[in-house]
Amino acid sequence: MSFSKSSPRVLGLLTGWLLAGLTLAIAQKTDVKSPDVKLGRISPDQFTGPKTDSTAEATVLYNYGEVTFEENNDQLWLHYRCHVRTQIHKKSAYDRATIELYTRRGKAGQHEFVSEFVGNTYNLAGGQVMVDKFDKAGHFTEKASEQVWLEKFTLPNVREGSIIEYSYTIQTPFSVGYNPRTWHFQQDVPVNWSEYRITIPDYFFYKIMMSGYLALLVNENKPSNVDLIPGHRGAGAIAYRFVVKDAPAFRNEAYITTDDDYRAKIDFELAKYQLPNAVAHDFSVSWETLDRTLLESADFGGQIKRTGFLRDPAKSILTQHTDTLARIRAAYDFVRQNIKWTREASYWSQLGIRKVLENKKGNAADINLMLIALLREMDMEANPVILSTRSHGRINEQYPLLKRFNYVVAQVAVGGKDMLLDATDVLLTPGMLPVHCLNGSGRLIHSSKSRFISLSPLERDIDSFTGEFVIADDGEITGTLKHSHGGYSALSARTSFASEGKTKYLDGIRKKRPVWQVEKAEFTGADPMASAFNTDFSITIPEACGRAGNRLYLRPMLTEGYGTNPFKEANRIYPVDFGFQKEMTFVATYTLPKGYQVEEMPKPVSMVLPENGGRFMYQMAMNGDNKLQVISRILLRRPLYYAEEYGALRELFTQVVAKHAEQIVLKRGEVVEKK
Amino acid sequence: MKYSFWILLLTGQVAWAQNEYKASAIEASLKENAHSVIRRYETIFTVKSPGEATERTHTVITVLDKEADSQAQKMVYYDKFSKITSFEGALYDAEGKLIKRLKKSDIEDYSTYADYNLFDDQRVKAASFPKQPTYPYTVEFLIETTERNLMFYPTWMPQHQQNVAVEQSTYTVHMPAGLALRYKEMNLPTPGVVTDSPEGGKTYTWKLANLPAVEFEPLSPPASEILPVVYTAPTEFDVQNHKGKLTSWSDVSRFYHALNDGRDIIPDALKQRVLELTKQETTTAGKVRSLYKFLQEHTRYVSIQLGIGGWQTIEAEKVAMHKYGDCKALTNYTLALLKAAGIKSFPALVRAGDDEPDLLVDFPSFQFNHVILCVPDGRDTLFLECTSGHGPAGYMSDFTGNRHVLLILPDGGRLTQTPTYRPTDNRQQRRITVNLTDQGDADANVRTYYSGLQQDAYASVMQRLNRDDQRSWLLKRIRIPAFELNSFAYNEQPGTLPAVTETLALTARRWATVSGTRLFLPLNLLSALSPAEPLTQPRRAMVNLDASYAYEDSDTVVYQLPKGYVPEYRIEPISIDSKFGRYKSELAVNGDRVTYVRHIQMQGGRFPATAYTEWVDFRKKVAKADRTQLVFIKAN
Repeated sequence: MSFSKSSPRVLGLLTGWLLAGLTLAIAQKTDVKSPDVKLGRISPDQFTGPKTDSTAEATVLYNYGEVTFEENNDQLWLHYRCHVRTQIHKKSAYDRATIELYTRRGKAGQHEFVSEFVGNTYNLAGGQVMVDKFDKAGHFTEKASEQVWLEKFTLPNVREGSIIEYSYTIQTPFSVGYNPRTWHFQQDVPVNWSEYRITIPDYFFYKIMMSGYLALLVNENKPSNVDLIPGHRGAGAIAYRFVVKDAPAFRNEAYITTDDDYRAKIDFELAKYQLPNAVAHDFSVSWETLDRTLLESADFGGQIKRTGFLRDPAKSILTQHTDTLARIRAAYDFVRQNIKWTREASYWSQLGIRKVLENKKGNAADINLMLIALLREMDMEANPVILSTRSHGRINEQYPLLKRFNYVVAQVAVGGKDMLLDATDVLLTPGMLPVHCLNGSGRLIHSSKSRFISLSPLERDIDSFTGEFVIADDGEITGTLKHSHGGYSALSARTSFASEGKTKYLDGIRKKRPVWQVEKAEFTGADPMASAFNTDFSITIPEACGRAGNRLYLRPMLTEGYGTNPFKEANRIYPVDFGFQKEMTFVATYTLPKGYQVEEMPKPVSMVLPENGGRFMYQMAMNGDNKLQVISRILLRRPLYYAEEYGALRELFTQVVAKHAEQIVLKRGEVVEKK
Repeated sequence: MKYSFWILLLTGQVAWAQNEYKASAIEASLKENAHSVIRRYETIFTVKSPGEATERTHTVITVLDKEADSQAQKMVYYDKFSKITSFEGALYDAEGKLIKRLKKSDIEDYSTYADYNLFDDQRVKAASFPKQPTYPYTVEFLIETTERNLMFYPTWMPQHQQNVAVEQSTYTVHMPAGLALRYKEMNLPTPGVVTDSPEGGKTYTWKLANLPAVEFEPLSPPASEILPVVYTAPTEFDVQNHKGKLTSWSDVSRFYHALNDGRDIIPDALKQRVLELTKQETTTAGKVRSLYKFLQEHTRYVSIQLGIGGWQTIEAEKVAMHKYGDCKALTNYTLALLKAAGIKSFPALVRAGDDEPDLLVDFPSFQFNHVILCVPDGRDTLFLECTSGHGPAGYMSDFTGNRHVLLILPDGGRLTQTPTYRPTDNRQQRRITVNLTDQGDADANVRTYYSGLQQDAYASVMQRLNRDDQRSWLLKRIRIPAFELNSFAYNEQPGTLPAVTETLALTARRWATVSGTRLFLPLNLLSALSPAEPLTQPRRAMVNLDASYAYEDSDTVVYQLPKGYVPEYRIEPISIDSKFGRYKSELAVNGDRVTYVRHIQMQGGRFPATAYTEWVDFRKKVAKADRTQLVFIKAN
């Protein structure tokens, strides 16, 4: 597949790195000074300072976060101190003057709390800075749920042009949360200066994960000392400092997996810690440990170990089928026809697959672990592949983090090739994953042969139209059109067809094509065993051709052409992630009205994307005296196009749109053939 | 003996349950178009006194398919005036066999926290059953609450949405002796029944049975105007020791006035500021405009739903200090500012929202969710939206325009109407010049003036989005096949009615298409209307063309053709008339300059169901006229 090659075009400038206590990373820049920002000390020139984007509703002038480890009454705490200065440009940003902080409640009466909230609003009046201090009347506490409380602070006298400033500390007991809160360098408005510092005592080993498309101005770590544990003064620590300068507002783009994969941020995951004279607390560190954790867990590995209760179905499949593929297919059907998916993603079996077989319903793990169990009971080598669904975000092969995963499917080797099976959906064909699973790579979990496995599908998204039409001399078109859906297009069509029923499904098609008069519509291949889902229409389109004098003007793509370019933006930052390859073909034959001949028709075109990334082909030719054939074919051969390829992709569709708009001129009477 | 008695009782219950919970007992006619069937929906509202009532709702709903899975959850709202005394639920399979009973731990409790609310004391208890793999299944909920805010009585609308059928539903109100119930029935097949209760009061009962599921058609009136509904309201109430009567609009007004009277004091310094701001102005309208501008520049809206059911304002003094408030507070503050300038004004309660139906004018009750300020000024009464930071004084948009409001007057109140925006208020006037190359590519300049309701979307984009996001928004709206947007600008236009001009410069690839010797020119690329949704079923509901269908658009497009092209045929002017609006377009060819002029005026309103076919026909003709192309041929 085109994707598995390791491309120099890295997804993101910061791919992230592992920083454990032992690593001596080299500081990039150490001489960069932070701006001198003190709460309450502000000069008039702050109001008119440079802005990355003067049209934004607000600019964060300064955003500073700092995390330290503290000890209080024999308890470990994380202290997160935050200091923000924001200028409000538009009224739509007024909500930013209400600061909402959530605090989590722990189980044993311990909870997070906000302390030392201080805030000011500054307005410029006649060259003077006027200060309005936050007062307690603007503080509200709300119990959002048993686990989460909200603290809201609203600042006074906010107008267009105001600068608001506030600082606070959130204190988190280690028992409530040991991972520092995610720090976002990038927000939905520009951030002039975003600085994050954390001093991690050597007792703690965190994975520090960076992601996004912005460069760090400062990436620093220095040896330091902390007095965390009484009697262990001056213990070693590493002080980290990260700065992003002039971060533009985060903007969403079409065809991406989930926002969170693209925003510049820093995340933490505690790997292990050991306090002096105490036992070590170890969390998953390596992929091997993670694999083992899963395999040793009763809700995962335990489920596929004991498969005896599936002996009967396994035996019956083995006696009924002899061919390997047929056996896999039978096992796949057995599970998905017997167990309904509860639409929950998970890699843990909730009740245990034995119980699930009785209940006849389960989550993704229940279902797919059962398929693996059944295949193993049939003496086939089947393995679980854990993955993260598109809306759950990308996994990173460098970080063995279980929480980045949320789903499991089955792998079985057929003729030396991996076949991935997801038995949650009866409309999938064997070897095809649902669209939500098409997200980079997954990890095959095995006691000794674990590995990453590409989730890029072999199946494409195929739409193929075949039409036979007769043009009447009043410009009306009558005939048949077959729309054949293959691959992912068939999956989505079958899914809507199954849930809407024939009448509603057809209504949907007619609403999108109001000029059609549908005389007949037949649907075949609703069963996924069929190679395609087909819709056969008999239609009439009155006035399909423009008519003037003795001429008819025909748009040969009828209602199926691309009317506008789907890629409207001139530039793109993130890759275009379709998930699968696409193919769209339209072939139609028109019988001309008696006495008419083609006077003019569009010229053929053939265009390819660089590195065979895709193509557009458009052709038209007379077939005999009175038949005209039109062929349009669009092929997008990659599930994902990098931002650098966006221009070419957009240009391809510009050509498509231009060609699809072109018209054929038919003329009644003699056309003098040139010799 | 005792033993057999129990057996009897149990079997009795099972027999009862079989019909109620068994999905197969549903008649076929109720399953048509239905995602769920309400088997039973029974509400008993028992008023004990003007200040206390209990409500008991028992629902049994059979879910037929996954579209109705949301019915398997129940949310019950409460606040400090109400208490949920019982929350029970059960889940049954298709055969009516009990699968699960709701446990206490299944019920979650959280605040109805919303981003826009700074503070709100509303809370919700919510419970849901796990997703069921097979359909149908049946859920049952039994909820009991006590209410201590009796400004509102329940509204009974068993068929509250489309694709829901109702097997049977009843609504019962028990009123104590000496306390009368007020109610309004709409779209009911049979009216309610009143009986005397043994305790001396009265019992009111409404029943509905066997309502097939409905599906809303395009351009339907609001659901509450089509489906059966009963509104009920008190004649007196007592909330937090504030007593009120409720038999007329004056009563509602008096109550609001009493709660909020005397809260309009502002500091002397601010009064001085008001005098200064208005001293140049000689007319009331002028003074109002300058104070409204002051309000827009110096205060902001935050939502604080507190105080007597959220009906009492924060004092104007506090708004003067913190410069923020909710709709009541900002309205009251503006009233205080105007008062300081010697101008009388009155709060006006309104049911705001672009798709909210108008007040039930003949049923005085608390139907409001918002308050605005009314400034009488001879014949030019102004209504002020005090929470809006933008727009000229007096502009209501479709949020509060074109509807009844209740004026709060010191000695009782009365209903009045906010302005209605007419087609000529809601304009889109477009001037386009297009220079075509012989490839069909074009440089185009587009200048559009939007006013009234048609400018709302543009004003909002202008006020909210940064330039990059404005550009993206614009790119999605422009329906030219392939183009680059070279520059764009939005400008607010001064006036009593809001207006925005938009100027665009574009380079289009293939505005016209060229094949061989011909050039195909679509005449109306930017303002073309699409056809209406065709009928697939016979039309049932009235055709409701709301305020967004009262507008006037005009386009003038001047095309500069490449050299040497002449039209292959002539295009006659098109004129389409209907009860919904009028359309005209014409074309003038003058050498290599082609001028296309199009004008459409649409009229909102209500039309009988049969008019839908005419509507489709009208829109089809308009769509066809908008697709008109002219073919040019290269001379020699």
